Amino acid sequence: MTPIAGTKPESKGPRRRATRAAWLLLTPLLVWLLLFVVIPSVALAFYSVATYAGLGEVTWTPSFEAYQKAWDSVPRVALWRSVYLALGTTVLCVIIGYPVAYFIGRAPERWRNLMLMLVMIPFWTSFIIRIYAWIIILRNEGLLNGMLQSMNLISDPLSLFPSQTAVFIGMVYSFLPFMILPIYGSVEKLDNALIEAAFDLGAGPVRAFQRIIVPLTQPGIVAGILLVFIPAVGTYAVSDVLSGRRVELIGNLIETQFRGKGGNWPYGAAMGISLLVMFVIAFWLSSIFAKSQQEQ
Amino acid sequence: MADAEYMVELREVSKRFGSFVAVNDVTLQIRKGEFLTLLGPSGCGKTTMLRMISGFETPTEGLVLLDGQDVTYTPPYKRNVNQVFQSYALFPHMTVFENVCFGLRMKGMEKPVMEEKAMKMIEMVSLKGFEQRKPSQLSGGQRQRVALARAIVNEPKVLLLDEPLAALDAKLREQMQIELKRLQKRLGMTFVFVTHDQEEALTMSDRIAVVNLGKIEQIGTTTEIYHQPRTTFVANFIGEANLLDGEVLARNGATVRLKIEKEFELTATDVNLPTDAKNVIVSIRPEKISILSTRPGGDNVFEAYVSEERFKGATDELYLETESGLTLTAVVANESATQVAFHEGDRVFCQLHPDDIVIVQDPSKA
Repeated sequence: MTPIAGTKPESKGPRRRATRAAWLLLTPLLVWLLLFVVIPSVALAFYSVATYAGLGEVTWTPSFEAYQKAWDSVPRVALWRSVYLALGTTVLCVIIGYPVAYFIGRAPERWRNLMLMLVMIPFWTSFIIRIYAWIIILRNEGLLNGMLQSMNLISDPLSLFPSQTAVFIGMVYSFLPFMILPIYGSVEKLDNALIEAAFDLGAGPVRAFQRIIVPLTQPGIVAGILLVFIPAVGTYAVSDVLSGRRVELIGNLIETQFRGKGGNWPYGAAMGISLLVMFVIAFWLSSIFAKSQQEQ
Repeated sequence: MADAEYMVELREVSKRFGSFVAVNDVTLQIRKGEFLTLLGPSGCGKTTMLRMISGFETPTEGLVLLDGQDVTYTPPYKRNVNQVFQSYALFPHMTVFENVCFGLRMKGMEKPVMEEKAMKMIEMVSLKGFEQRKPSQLSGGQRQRVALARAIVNEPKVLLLDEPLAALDAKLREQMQIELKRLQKRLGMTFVFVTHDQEEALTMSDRIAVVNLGKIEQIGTTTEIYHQPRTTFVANFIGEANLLDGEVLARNGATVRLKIEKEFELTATDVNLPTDAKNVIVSIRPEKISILSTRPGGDNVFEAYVSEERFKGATDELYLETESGLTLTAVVANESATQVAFHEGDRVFCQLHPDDIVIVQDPSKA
């Protein structure tokens, strides 16, 4: 073939300057961020370097006392337990959530909204009530054990509640929608012609999934992982209810410091800030990693 | 496996979506190495036919044969056909090179062989130097050529093209038409091309199958389709046509004497007209009407006046009206600026060659 017109790529338009109008449009967001992100974080940072004066009292003498306590063995163990449970939750949410999101995203349009609705309906009930409902399902005389026993699959009830397993189940349950929704968003945008093109070029369903569908829905998977993993590390209500306060996560430890009148606020704040800093560093490292991957 | 006569065959194929019949009992034979175009308006079923050849649709009834083998229920990834999609469907997360390699990689080809083939193909479509670009960094025409290279590199038995030029601007489209045709000749590959653009079909095809309402109205070479349309739909869809009612007055072999619109008489040539045909429809191409200012000798002449004139550069389009109010369109070439031109209100004489009066359909039989 002879070369034809248009061998230059489409030129990108000039970079838009941040105009006054743009700033004006950003104002609500900036105010929101200031009120609900910046101010609370700064307040927390202040408390973390204050000194605990016993029984809920704080003196404003700067010290790293609280941080020393925050990196001690008790919070460390709780943190590792939290990370471990959050990782498990994230993995299981991907395994369960991806097929669900894919199914909804590829379903005929008129069914999609209905199915999305079904995913979201639980949000209409209080989170705590839904977690309590799991007690009814998981306890020794509960629904699950009753069913398994009546089918003669087990003779003695599985002691699921209260336990770490129950916490795990509860976490997967409560974070699953946060995995499904972003993946759905990616799947729904996926052009069907691309899947057909993969088939056309000889890729069977498995290879089309690996090489085309997964890479193209990756933004949704990444968003889902962040939306599940981060709050899962900090979770405390699920472990409170489903472990009978026996499985202590970092979230529980922090929450205890702020609950009631006798709490150690600097200690709680120091743990909170430490967690925040760790996330920021993890994010930063992963974005560097992602960039270097892209450049390859 | 003995060599089959046809590369692709549809045998009595129907495809229904619910109660909608997209393809209605179609039999189609595509020869090895030919450029066949499925031409028709949108929604006529041409794309569904293509998708049954590629394997994305399974016929409700009938068989699909590829090189003599029944592939009716073979999934697309096991058929040795490749498609160029209307939207190109290039993988956005892969470079041009990776896109072109994809099919070969799926076949498990060895890396050095694969890379050499891919590079050759990229060179052939003049995209050397663009291998590491992502599709988003290419122009429409370049993407189109990547899509072509990605399909052809697999050396498919049939290349299916689903309106691949629709997204290009007019100038680029014309160039691509020529290039596609050249490429097809050079490779000797069987091309099945889907389009709604009759000009595109006429420029590129060896044969055209005109599709309407899920059926093939007529299949033939480009000249057959243009000069001997068998139905009013084909006459109308391919180029311009004056469609007139005619009544058979007399016939002598292939020569048929017709009364046109109850107004004037013309002689046509038609070897296939059934002997009992009485009322027919006649198609006359605008450029076949000779316009003269004085009455010429010979037969097949009628009088009209120019009701409107439209200057179109290379040609002049004349709207003619006869005494009884019958209107016709004629196209005359603008040979030189000094040539006698016709203007609104001019009285003219129109002459037709009997071969140019095409009897397309017998209304009593339609």
